[in-house]
Amino acid sequence: MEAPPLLALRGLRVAFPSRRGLVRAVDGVDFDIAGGEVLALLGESGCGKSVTSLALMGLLPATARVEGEIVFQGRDLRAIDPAALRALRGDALAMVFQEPMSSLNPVLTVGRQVAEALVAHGRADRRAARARAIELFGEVGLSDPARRYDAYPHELSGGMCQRVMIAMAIACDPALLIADEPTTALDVTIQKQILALIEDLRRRRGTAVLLITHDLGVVAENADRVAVMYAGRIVETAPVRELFASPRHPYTRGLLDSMPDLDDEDAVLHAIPGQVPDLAALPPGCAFAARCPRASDRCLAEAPPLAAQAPARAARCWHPL
Amino acid sequence: MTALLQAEGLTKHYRVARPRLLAPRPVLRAVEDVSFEIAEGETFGLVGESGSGKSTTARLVLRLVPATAGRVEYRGRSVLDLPPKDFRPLRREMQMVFQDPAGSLNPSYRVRDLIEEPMIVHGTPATAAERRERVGALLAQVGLDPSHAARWPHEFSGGQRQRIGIARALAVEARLLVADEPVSALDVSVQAQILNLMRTLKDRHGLSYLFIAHDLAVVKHMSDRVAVMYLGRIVEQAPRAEIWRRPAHPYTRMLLEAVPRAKVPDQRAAAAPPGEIPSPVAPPPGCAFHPRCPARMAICSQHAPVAKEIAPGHLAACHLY
Repeated sequence: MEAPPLLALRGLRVAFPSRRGLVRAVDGVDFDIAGGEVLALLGESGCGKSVTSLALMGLLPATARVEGEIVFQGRDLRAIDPAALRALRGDALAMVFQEPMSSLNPVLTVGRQVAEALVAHGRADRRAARARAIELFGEVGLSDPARRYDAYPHELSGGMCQRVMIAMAIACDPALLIADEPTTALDVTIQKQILALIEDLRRRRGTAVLLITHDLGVVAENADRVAVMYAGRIVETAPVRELFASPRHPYTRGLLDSMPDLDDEDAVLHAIPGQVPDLAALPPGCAFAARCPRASDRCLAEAPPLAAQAPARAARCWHPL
Repeated sequence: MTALLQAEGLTKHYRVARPRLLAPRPVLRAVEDVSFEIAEGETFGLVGESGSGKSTTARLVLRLVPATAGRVEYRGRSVLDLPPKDFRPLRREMQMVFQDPAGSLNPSYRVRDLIEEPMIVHGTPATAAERRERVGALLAQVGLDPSHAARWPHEFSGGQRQRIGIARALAVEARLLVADEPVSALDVSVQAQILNLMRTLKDRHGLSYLFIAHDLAVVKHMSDRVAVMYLGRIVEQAPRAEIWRRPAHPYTRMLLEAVPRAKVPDQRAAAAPPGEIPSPVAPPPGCAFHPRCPARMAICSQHAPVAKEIAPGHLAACHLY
């Protein structure tokens, strides 16, 4: 018998009312993450990947209309009371954001901010918190951790701020780390350092990671499994090696073909024509049909289900590759 | 090969705020002794991480910021010391495409007025009827519907706004386009559309590009020759194939290794490159890269290396050569 997943999303829907009508940012998303696994949620802007992560953390604005289940360690996060969710957030469930600079409080030293998280979650008293924060700074590879404790965010580089954010996220030894575009604002050499750090934490502590990104390269080098999102839905899921070797959904194929390849001489890029549909006026059929080279009349009329293609693989397509 | 543009010893220093009262004002060395040539019909790529000076170099060439030292020749005429009225006809031929198409288009202008504006500034074509006709032709050329001329910038997606930005640059029959991160704000699938468009336009109009990006794969895809910048200096410069097959400078190698490939690697977790880019206010002595360099020698911290031609057209500024 398989162990129950650490996190299970069932039929997650998030919609925002707007003047143009209901914007369906997330439109029926299901996925599981096992303990210690890195699942990449891959997609372009507006596909719903960040809204999914905010829903997980219970950080959506009050105007959002949410449906579905978010079962974490056997408990539905949407059903538990706000105090219990707060206790979980930053503890068993932690998050790292894209903009490390703006996620930190500019008027507090970075050490204080990490120590405060430890005290708030009852992991240490004030004095022990300082020592523990310095220890964590060492663990995330900040040079001279004792001196960094008293630094303000503006005195640190983007990469160092992201290390501080990761120290804060792992302060309470989370079971799941949600990393939303953790390296998008960073230079490529620093990106590699931060991703190596996350991988190292996963290996040593067994932390599961939900890695949210638009970067196919980051996915290929860091994920175990991938869920590709388009217009609020998962269109393909697969183990990472199989996704890159033989994508089944035409959108995944299109993404791979539109990237310039550093190791090949490529004359023409195969761009995906057109653009993403308006989430307030989604077509009745497949949301990708208007841009898809394989689209048929059926695709325009009827939305395909996410159907199993092979063990551990699924694609939402009437004509998979 | 005749040089369309020639930059020699371009240097830009900024005086920054005093750290303390009465302390001398430190000098930020944004660009230091940068020399390169762009031939007629050539795409010259500038690549580097944030703070490497690539955007400042672009602005120096177009006189958007005054140079501290150095020369720029455009079609054999020295442009940095020309009086503004003599510079204007040359400036018409040198146009810029910006990174953020949303921020560089005036939101209170309709698309037709945005594209017509440079024609009015440069007085060509002279009549309103001719200009309006040209707006329609330009929109078609960049892949937009000429009937959208009366729309506002906010009605377009990011990729379409970048097309408008390109149409503006072409409006006055530019010969050299300076494109500063033209696709970094766009999603991969749309990015490919814009890169393909830029290549088509280049062939059709015999344009030359100074193409700036932090994404190595994008620069490689677009450029005939490439220069790699680090902390204000060009550390390596070579034809495209040469720099990718035989990168000479240890920094170029580090960059190439750090880029995540959209291919699942056989082995995970190659060592991440050490260190961060130092401050341009207090660059390390000798070669600015030496604190991070795996091949550093005693001389590297004492003397800045001079660029040497290590193969035909392949320059490297490194004591290894």
